[in-house]
Amino acid sequence: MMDSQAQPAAVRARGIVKSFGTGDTKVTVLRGIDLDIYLGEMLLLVGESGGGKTTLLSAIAGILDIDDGNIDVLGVPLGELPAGKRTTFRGQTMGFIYQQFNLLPALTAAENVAVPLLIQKIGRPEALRRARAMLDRVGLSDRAEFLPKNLSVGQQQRVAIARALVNEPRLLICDEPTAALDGPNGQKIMELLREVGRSPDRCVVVVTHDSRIFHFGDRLARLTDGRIVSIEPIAREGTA
Amino acid sequence: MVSSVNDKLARVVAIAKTQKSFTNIPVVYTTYERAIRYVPRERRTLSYVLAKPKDGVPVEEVTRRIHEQTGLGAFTAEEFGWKTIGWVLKNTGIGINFGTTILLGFIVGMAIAGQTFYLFTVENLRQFGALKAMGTSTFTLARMILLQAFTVGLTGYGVGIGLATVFGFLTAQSGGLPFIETWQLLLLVLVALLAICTFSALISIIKLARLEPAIVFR
Ligand SMILES: Nc1ncnc2c1ncn2[C@@H]1O[C@H](COP(=O)(O)OP(=O)(O)OP(=O)(O)O)[C@@H](O)[C@H]1O
Ligand SMILES: [Mg+2]
Repeated sequence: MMDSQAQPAAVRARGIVKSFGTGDTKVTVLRGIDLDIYLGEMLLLVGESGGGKTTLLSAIAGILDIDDGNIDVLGVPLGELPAGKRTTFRGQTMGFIYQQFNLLPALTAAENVAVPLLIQKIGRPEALRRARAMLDRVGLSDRAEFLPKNLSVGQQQRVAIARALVNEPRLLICDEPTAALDGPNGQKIMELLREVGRSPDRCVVVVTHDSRIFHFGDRLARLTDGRIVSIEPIAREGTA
Repeated sequence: MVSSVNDKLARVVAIAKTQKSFTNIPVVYTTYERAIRYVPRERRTLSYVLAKPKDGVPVEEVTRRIHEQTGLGAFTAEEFGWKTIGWVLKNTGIGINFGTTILLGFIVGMAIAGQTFYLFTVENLRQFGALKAMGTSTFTLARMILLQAFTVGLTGYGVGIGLATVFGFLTAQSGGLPFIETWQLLLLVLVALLAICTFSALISIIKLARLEPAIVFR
């Protein structure tokens, strides 16, 4: 048992139900999800395509309303926050990494990384300084002034990681961060996520169906038929 | 040269080069006595008398005195000019024709600007979703959209007014049509333009307000 699991969960989800559509076309995607995620760990969430992994991530991030259940993030019940407060809370506590990077094409790498800070009303020079420092940590200090289109996909995803972390979020949410990358690039991104993203006061959730990266996680949660069917620690060489 | 006016012979002594106008009524300069012989008998053969004040007497003073002593309307050149413009706009097809054109331009402009702008928003929905996911409030997104709309709008205003003015002055100079551009007109155009921008921005803002940031994961 890891030490971190002795403390209360950073994310505590109970009885989450979510369906889409109405009548004949109604599909219930999540059928009562219970899940705890702890500070300091990297949780991998796996399951078949269309199984509801993204839906669950969106619910945890508070960007999708659920039909039933409760989600507490850092002790804050998301469902009880009004929409505006939830948006602010998300900006302050969460970082996102997507399959499609979602960088702003007109901004340089450094500017892209600075965006979350600018949203928090941090002054532009300070934001850019911290953005460059973060780019340095993902090994891109020499690409700070490049536009996304002039970066390789692996580099773009590293910019996205820097952007997700620049705010020092307590919760890092990654949806298929390696799906748009080839094998070696995917491995490198996962190494980076583990090295830079994983920290004692942060929890990292990674959705993936790429079994080649399973070993980067601390725990593996399986989502099947709208339920978490198993959560197991992942054996790691040298750490277990 | 001898010509005929309404079947009556007339001797042409000179041909005047005058300003072009939208209505093409021929103008004959002659004495009043001759004029009433050329035209068929009408109820009124005299519509106005052009008077020049003596040196040093202000025009306004003269028009006031004429009005007092004769009970007739007396106007300065400027006043008379605007009275004529008003009359033409009200009593000829020009007002309706041009009014319809302007109104159509306004509506089409609004539709095109609104649609183009909306398209831009829809094309960039993912980026807006990403901003929203990162904690950008709808209020901030709305301000971004408005800033964009007004920047584009005001740039267009400058370019448009600039081109129109240059075109106007050039045609006026080359002896073409008369051209006037008052600040009231410029202001009216500005207000109309701001209305178009606000309308365009508003459709996009409504779209963004309803946007589920969950689309960034798709
Ligand atoms: N906005 C929506 N409207 C209707 N149906 C939706 C919506 N979002 C998701 N769904 C449905 O919910 C189900 C789960 O989708 P979800 O994206 O969560 O799956 P996933 O596990 O992330 O799949 P993948 O591995 O392919 O990304 C799918 O059947 C999908 O069609
Ligand atoms: Mg998915």
